[in-house]
This record gives sequence, C-alpha cells and structure tokens, in this order.
Amino acid sequence: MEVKELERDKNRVVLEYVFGAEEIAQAEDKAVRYLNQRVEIPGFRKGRIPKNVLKMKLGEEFQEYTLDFLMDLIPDTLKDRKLILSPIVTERELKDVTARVVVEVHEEPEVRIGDISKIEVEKVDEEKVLEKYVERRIEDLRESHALLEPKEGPAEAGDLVRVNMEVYNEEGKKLTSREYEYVISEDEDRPFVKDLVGKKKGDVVEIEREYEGKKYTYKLEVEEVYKRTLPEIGDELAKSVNNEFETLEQLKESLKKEGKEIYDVEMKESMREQLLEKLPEIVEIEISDRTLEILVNEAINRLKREGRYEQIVSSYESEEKFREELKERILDDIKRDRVIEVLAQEKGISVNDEELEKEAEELAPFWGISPDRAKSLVKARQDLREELRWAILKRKVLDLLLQEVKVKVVEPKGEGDDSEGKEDN
Amino acid sequence: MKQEKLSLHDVLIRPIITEKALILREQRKYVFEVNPLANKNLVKEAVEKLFNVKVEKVNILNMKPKPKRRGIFEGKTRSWKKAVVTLKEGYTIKELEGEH
Repeated sequence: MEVKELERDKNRVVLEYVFGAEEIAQAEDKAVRYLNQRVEIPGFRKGRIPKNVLKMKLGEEFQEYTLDFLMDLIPDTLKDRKLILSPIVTERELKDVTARVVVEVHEEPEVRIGDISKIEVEKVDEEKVLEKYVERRIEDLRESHALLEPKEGPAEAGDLVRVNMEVYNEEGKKLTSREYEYVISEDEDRPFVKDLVGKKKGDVVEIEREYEGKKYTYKLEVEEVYKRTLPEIGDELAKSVNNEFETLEQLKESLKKEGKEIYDVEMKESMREQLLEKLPEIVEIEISDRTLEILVNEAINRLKREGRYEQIVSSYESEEKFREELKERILDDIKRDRVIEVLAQEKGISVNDEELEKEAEELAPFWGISPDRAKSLVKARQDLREELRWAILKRKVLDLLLQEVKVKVVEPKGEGDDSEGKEDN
Repeated sequence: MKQEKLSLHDVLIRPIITEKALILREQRKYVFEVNPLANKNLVKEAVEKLFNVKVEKVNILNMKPKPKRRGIFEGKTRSWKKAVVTLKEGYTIKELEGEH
C-alpha cells in the first residue's frame, strides 16, 4: 500500500492510498468468506461459492465489498494522527490489479496561545460577600428561633398560621388532608396564603380551583394563629442556636467560616468559567474552512434530528445568521479544547485512577447512587471515564492558568454601584 | 415428423454453473443446458465452433421433470436436456472461467 499526501489546507489533509495486487487478492478472499455466509446462489451449498462465481454473479457489488475490506487497512495508518472528525472517503475505485482510495482527514488544528495575563476575570469582594452572608444567616436563625405565642385575633403580617388543608373533588370526595404552616409576609400574595390574612382560629376558608378541566375544592381550617417574636440579635441568640457559643461574635465567626467555604468553592468555579469564556480571545488557530463547514453541518443535522432546529432558527434573523453564530461557537469550543489539551501536554498534567475514583465518589449523590456503585460504573464504562477525565483535566489546567490572569475585585451584585474594582495580582 | 436443422447458436442454451459442475471442470468437463432437439454431434460442433476448442466426447442426459407442490397447487418442473462436454487435454473454455 502506498500513501501519498495529495493536498493540505491547514488541518485538512487529502491522502491517496494505492493498493497492490497482493492486498487486493487478500481483500477479495475476505470478501468471498464474508459473502459466502450471506449470499445464496442456486446450485451451490451455502459457504461453497467460489470467488469467480461470486465475481460473475455480483459484478460491481463484489468490487465494493473488496474495497470495503481494503479500506480496513486505512485506520492503522492514521493511528499517529489526532483527528477531529472521522475520515471521509471522497473517491474509491478498483481496476484490475490496482485499487485507489482517496481519504480526507481532519486533524486536530494547531493553536498558538497568546498572553494569558491579558485575560481579566472578576472576583467578588470576599469581605463584603461574607458580611452579607453572615447578616442573612443571622436573619434566618432569628426566623427559625422565633418565639411563638398563640393569639386569638386575626392573622396579620409576621404571624405564623397553622392550617389543616383538605382537598375535595367535584363529587365531594375527600382526596387529601394535611397540616401546613405559613408565615404571613407584608403584601402577601401567595395563592391560598393571602386568603388566610385576617382569619382567626377556627375560621374555615374554601377555595375552588380548576386543574386540567377538573374542579377541586380546597378547605383550609385555621387551627392556630401564633404571634411570632423574633429574638434580639445578641449573645442570647447565639446561645440558643448552639450551646457551644457564648457570644454573638462566636456565632458570627462560625457563620463566616461556613460562608468562606462556600465562597471559595463558588468563586473558584466562577473564575474558571470566566476564564474559559475568554480563553478563545487569546488563541490563534489553524483550521480549514472545510472542517468548520462539516462541523456546522453536523451540528445542524443533529438539531434537525432532535426536532429543535426550526425553533432555534426562529430566534435568529435568518438561517445564515444562525449558521454564522454556530460557526463562531464551534470555533471557540475547539480553541478551548485544544488549549486545554496542549497545555496539559506541555505542563505534564494528567489524571490518574485515584482522581477519577474521587470524582466519582463526589458525583455519586448527584447521580443518585452509592459511592461504590459510582466507582464501579466509572471503572466499567469508558465513555463515562473519559468524560470525567476530561472534566478533571480541564479544571486542573484552568486552575494553573488562573494564577497568571488579571483578577479584578468587584462589588457583590445588587449592591452599591458598578464602579471600577480595585486590581489584584 | 421432419426436424428442421438447428443453427449452431441455438444448440447451447446456457452453461450450468453449480458446485457439482465446477468440480467437473477440473476434469475438463463443461455442463450445458442444450436444445431438446440437439444431439451429441450438434453439441460437439457448437462447442468447438463457439469456444474454439476441441471436444473429446459429449454425454447427453434427458432431465426428467420433478414434481413440485406450492400450497394447494401441484405441478412439475420442466424437462430439459443436459450435455456434459469433455474437452481434449490442454483446452479450457476461457469465457466460462469467470475471468471478467
């Protein structure tokens, strides 16, 4: 077999394979063995049809089978090339003692990574976030440690109402009966709850609702109305939350620690996402238009198969606009993936089995299975293992890059103005 | 009844390509379905002229119809004439060797 590079356009290479008589004879033998199991010709027992008879009876079809078996030799020659798409056969012919196959391969494109320090990511001011977190948690604790006092008067904002809710269908049959507790807020507008405002112990509220064409009657009987007294923010609140706390400061310190753990995890994740989003800006890529065109077409075909294409395109000015944006998005995704791969290789970053197991253990609750089951699942399924390996690798590379980017400290959202933050790092 | 003479092109109807026929080819024997009116001499002449070979001998067999049943319908296959032609040593019929 001779392989010749006919054409190269960035990452796209056109290869010509020419097979000799010996390879063709071997492929023909394979085709004969294959066809003998599937073809029946009168006068011959199954599996006993000679090559010449098959050639004569099947004609071009036999040639196609022979070419198929010849093409089985191609993947081995592509082992050293990293491909972004499956090879595409553009020409194939078998004539007498030579066969020729032309294959278009799309290699992973080369990337040039620019200056990482030009990327800027935002980090929300830690002190301010934690301050707000502690405030909010203390308010929550006040709410959950409120002192309840039964009252005779009507329910008003701030009160807690305990009701027994019974649901009846159109025929008057009782479907359910359950107790609920609601805290009435200022400008209460929740369904059912707003109807309890002003009601006293023993009052009954009947509400009719229609769901899917059926009428239901909700009977809410007020069992008790409580006046809630929120505890003062002070040492007493701290003591009631946990015996270990003597002072409010100790409670605040503990809440701050709790908040810091959440902040660290979330902020790191947010910074990784920002970096990943901006990464394509500093990357130059050598990719052929044809590769992109095929990838765009594949994505569109996938959307069409899933029946989502029309709906998505309708939110764009035209199909052309959608194609353009899709192309940009695919290009950015390739840039990101290539940067992660290239840097992982350059810096010697890899993922070992131990890390995969740990990741599986951490994901087990999200998958709704036991950690052991998650570990064995990852061991057994290569696709899953590859998915996790990629996620971990990406995280490791991004964490390394985060040490080089510019970090801008910003105010927490929804508070203060959008003034320029101070620069860090 | 007077029989009209067959032209050489009408003598051979088709070569029989079956496992058994191919085994016979190793002994230079070629099997044909021939015209029911053909005789050994006509078959010999036809094979020699059409394929440019020399024939050693010809065996003729009259194939009897076989009863066939398809559901409620009963019938039989057609009768036909088979000729086994043995070529002289050194000859083969290239046209039938599947070298297409």
